[in-house]
Amino acid sequence: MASGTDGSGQVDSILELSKITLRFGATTALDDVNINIRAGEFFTLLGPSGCGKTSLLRLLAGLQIPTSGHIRLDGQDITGVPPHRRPVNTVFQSYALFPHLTVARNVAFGLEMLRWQAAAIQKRIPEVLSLVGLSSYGERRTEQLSGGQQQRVALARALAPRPRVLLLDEPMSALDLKLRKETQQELKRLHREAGITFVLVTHDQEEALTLSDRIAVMKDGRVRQIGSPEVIYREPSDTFVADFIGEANLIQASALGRAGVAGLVMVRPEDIAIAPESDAARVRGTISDMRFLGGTVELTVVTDAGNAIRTRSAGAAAVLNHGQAVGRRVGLVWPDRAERVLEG
Amino acid sequence: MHRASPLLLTLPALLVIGIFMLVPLGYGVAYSFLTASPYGGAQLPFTFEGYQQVLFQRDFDESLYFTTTYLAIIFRSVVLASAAAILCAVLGLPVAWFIACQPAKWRTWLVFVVTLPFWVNSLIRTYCWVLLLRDQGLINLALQKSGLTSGPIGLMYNDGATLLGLVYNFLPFMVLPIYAALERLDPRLIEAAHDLYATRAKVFSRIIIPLALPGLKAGALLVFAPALGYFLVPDLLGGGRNLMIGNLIQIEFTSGRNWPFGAALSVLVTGAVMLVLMIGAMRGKRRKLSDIVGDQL
Repeated sequence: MASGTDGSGQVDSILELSKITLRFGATTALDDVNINIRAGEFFTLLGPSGCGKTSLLRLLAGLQIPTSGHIRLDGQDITGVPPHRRPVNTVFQSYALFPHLTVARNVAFGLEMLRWQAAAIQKRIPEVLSLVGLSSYGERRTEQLSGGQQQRVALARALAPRPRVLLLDEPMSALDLKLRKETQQELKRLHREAGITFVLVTHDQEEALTLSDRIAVMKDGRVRQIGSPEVIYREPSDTFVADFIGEANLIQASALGRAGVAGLVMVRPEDIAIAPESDAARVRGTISDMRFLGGTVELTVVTDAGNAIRTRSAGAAAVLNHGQAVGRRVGLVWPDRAERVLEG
Repeated sequence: MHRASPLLLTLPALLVIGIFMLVPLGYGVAYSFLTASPYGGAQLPFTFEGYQQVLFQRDFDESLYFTTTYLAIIFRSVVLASAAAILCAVLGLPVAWFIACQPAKWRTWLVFVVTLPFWVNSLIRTYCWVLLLRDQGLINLALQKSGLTSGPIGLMYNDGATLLGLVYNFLPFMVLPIYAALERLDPRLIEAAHDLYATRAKVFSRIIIPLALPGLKAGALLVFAPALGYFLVPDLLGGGRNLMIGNLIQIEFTSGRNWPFGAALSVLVTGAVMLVLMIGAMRGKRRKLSDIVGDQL
């Protein structure tokens, strides 16, 4: 129950969610969710909108109470503990900075509520502001800041009280692409330097893969798979996860001539190579589309069985002459280890 | 022609302001410097007597002596109007907060309900309070029937009754601007404050009050200014004995037959209100005068 190393090399759990269910009237937002989050890890709740990931984050923050189930922090049940008595802070999607306070006063807010000594607060403010690279912005009003700067203030404000867990609710959704990439690196660095457990909510699979130590993929209020980015990508537990994370070709096993195998075979586009239309090819078909992506070339091959299979490779450009690719008949090959059989 | 058009377009507004505001105001100021006619009205020559009478009275032998009679009335008016503003704020803030917390479809109706008394003539509304508060009124009857008191208790004809009437009349002027401020408050700020270890009381004092402050300030001005010069309530509920400055002005223009003095008092009240507005505008550096009064309603 409580955390502790169990001899098998398992790391301490800081947050344990067991059998969490959340209902609003007739709709079920979360259905029997079980997650253990390890101390110090960067954990991501990933899923499409409406999958319940934000509801789950609100449960962790204490802004919502589950219909049933338990949440434990450091082994203690905090299921019904109000937000102001949880050592957990949140970076809100809209940042929710206090408009009537300066940057420094925003950062100091949590510390004042915790009744820190004035001297300790005065020492902590420049510490966290420099951590997010806003050292000279303390006296600014929050409305004078850009979106990226506001987000940093929100981070500084949430990190200042040294929470046990930092919750991040789609913190990058309001930023443009370039800024988002920078901020991702920034978050990674903050996670390393702060040494705090991060729980991120996002619908952006690329973001999740880049940042996370482990990911929980969610859909319709349920957890579909929990694992490291590599495991989630390489060994998806079902077709939803396979399709949601990265790109996946899902081919009926029967179309590959697999006797006795039911379901779908998943192969990632980058694992598929173009080969001559020989017996060695796993499937044969006609190139229906070719997209030049700079470093790589993406081909769509319509197989004789009628499946559209996408491939992506660096070498394809050399093999095929750009203009003449479409309409040519080719074979497709991939190694055994690249495929994974999933239940339909 | 094209250059003249901006001026041309503002002309109707300028005319309205000119005719309905500046002209009467100018008349008031002019009258305050005239000499009283024996049968009402005013006549030349120009004099400061209207203002002089606020502080000094003329004895039978025409010598001036200092009097606090009118100062006391001005003082009572300021105290009562301030008290009304404070009470309205204390009552109005929870009401405004309650409305702001309701679902959007209810809010419009609740705001309508707050403004409902405006649809009834204020004279009738104030008389209703007379019916409630007088010795044979509903409250006294109920108290006696229930045995809580043996005889009627004097609820009317005191400063308390005047204050009650003022608060009742001007409460919507406080509720509406506070509501306007609170409606724009992002509920996520409250969640963020809770998340940052603030208790409910701290959320109220550190987030809600500061963000409602522009509305509170606007409301305070909107209550204080008309309450200062109100004469209906002190007349009917205060019984005409505990005068407010509005009653005094009214008396000077009617039975007192001293228009210059009434005009001088009016100018003083208007000037005092303008002064308060200007101080408010200067302290809220970035907010324009028109914003403080205007954008809240």
